[in-house]
Amino acid sequence: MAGYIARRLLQSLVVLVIITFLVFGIMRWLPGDPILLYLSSDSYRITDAAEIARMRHEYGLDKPIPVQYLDWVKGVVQGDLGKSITKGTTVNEELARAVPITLYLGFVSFIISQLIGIPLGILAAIRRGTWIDNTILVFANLGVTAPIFWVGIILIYLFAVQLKWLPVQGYTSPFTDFSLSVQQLILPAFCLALGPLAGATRQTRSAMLEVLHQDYVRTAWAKGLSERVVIGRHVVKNGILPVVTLAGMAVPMIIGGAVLVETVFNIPGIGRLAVNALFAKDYAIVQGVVLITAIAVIVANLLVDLSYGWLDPRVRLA
Amino acid sequence: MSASQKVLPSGAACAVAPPRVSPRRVAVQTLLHRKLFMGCAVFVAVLLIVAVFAPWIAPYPPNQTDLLNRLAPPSWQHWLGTDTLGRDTLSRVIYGSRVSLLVGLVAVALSALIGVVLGTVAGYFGRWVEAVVMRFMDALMTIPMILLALTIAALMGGGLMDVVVAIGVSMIPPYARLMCAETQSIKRKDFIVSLRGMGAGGWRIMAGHVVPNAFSHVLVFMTMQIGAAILAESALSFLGIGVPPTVPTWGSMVADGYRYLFTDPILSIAPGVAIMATVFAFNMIGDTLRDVLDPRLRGTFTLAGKHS
Repeated sequence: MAGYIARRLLQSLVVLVIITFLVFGIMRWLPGDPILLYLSSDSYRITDAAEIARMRHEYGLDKPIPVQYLDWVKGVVQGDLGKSITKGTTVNEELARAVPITLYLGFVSFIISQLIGIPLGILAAIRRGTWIDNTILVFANLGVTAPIFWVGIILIYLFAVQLKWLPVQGYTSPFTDFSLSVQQLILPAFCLALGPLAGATRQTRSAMLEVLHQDYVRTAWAKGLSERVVIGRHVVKNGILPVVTLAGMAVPMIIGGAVLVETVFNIPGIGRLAVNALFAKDYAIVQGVVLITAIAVIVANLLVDLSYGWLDPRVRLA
Repeated sequence: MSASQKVLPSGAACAVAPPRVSPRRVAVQTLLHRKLFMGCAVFVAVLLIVAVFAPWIAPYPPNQTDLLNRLAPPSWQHWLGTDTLGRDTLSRVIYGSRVSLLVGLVAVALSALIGVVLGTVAGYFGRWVEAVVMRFMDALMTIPMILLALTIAALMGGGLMDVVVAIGVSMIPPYARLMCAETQSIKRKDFIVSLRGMGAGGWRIMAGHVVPNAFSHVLVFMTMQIGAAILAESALSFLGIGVPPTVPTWGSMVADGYRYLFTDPILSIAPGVAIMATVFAFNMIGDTLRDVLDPRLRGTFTLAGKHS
């Protein structure tokens, strides 16, 4: 197990280094000079060459690209993601404000998606071919199909505009006003959960179907065990492994979805931060968000692989 | 349906040998018998016709404003009403299909092209080539697709081609993975070994033998990815980092309509339904093709075949 963990950790580290290349490379390699773009924006009009040179120097943009990269990586390793060009704050401050919000929203969505998706998948598999299975499948297919920004708008229209059960949009910290915070979270959390939920349902269903035909399941039935014991102890326990993988894949799905959901519901998380920074050409913030996101995904993948080893001794020993 | 069940028995059920039927005929027959698949195929065909002949089909030009008829409700003149500038919603939905289909199809072709080249080279040469390419793909995959596409599109500027490139690039990794695995298994086959023995070069083997042999898998996977590409395009347009605002797209129409949600919800609903129906149709076609054409899943298909 120790060797397995070490190997996976090393692999993650390599991927992380490549990500810093990619993140930095995409920003620098694509056309557009951040300082000129910023200075030519409406809020700020400077054409003085000395001033431009001064700003270029202040943000380290006058150095050669490899040096800029090393400077940036040095900062990142020390936990300093740089300065925001447009806001005058540090990227760390911006992330510290936005990350907990997305974490809160994303965590609730993740729980919703797995708590509903996995049981639905199991149900569809053991009732295969019946109307229950068909209904679940249709909804699961619609769930991976629907554009979530549009689902969000439809939910707002139904539950906030028409029925007036929930607030239209916005975000309140649960520590300021718990009940309002929960009310405001219901729609975006459900909306964000939809994709992973449908994915979990489909994945669980096919994983269960694979196990349902195994010999030992037939033996369990033949022994006269009750359906609850056969399904619960033999089918689910053995078939759940691939579902764990998908739970790991839900993390990038949720972060990607947060970009859209946070825009629709006006939630100041990292998705909105990234979109606003992209519009403002604030490279440092975009770099920070992409890097944090990638690290979150790497950690999630690592956890999935390690739990694989823990759940299934065969992986550990191989 | 019963015909396909007779010719595609699975595993142990196959005690009595079925008559020999060519796999291609089985596949075609199965596809024709699946009502949902046929429905989706017809829908996509109609959509393609609508997109190509939009100027003749749409009742109004997409950008023709009618300031006396702003935010009009659905009527016989304007089936889906008009937007804030008095533009006909139905016509804009019809024209919107052009961008969605164009971006969806071209982005998928682009990602498949690059991904297949990278994956084949990685799988064929193995060792450090494979390590470098595949770790790059791993890294690319850790960035959520929408965020990556959004970043690339925004940095490139955001024209139609930029959106295609952004979505195409962000969808490369799965093709590279698929192709790398396929190449590794194909290159061990006897006919490749004998080709090598006859002195065929690596590039010739890859282009002439490895890729054609794996192409059916790639094609099925491409069909499955079209829906995702269309969804990504609509998301970028919704966020406003997409094609120029004068070009009608479903995503930007949803965003524009959002502001009038309280009074004219149809402005958001109509283009959203168009996105959903299109993506659903492409996904269904992709899933069915995978079930029928991918041998590894063929066994499970007959068992699950009832749900069409």
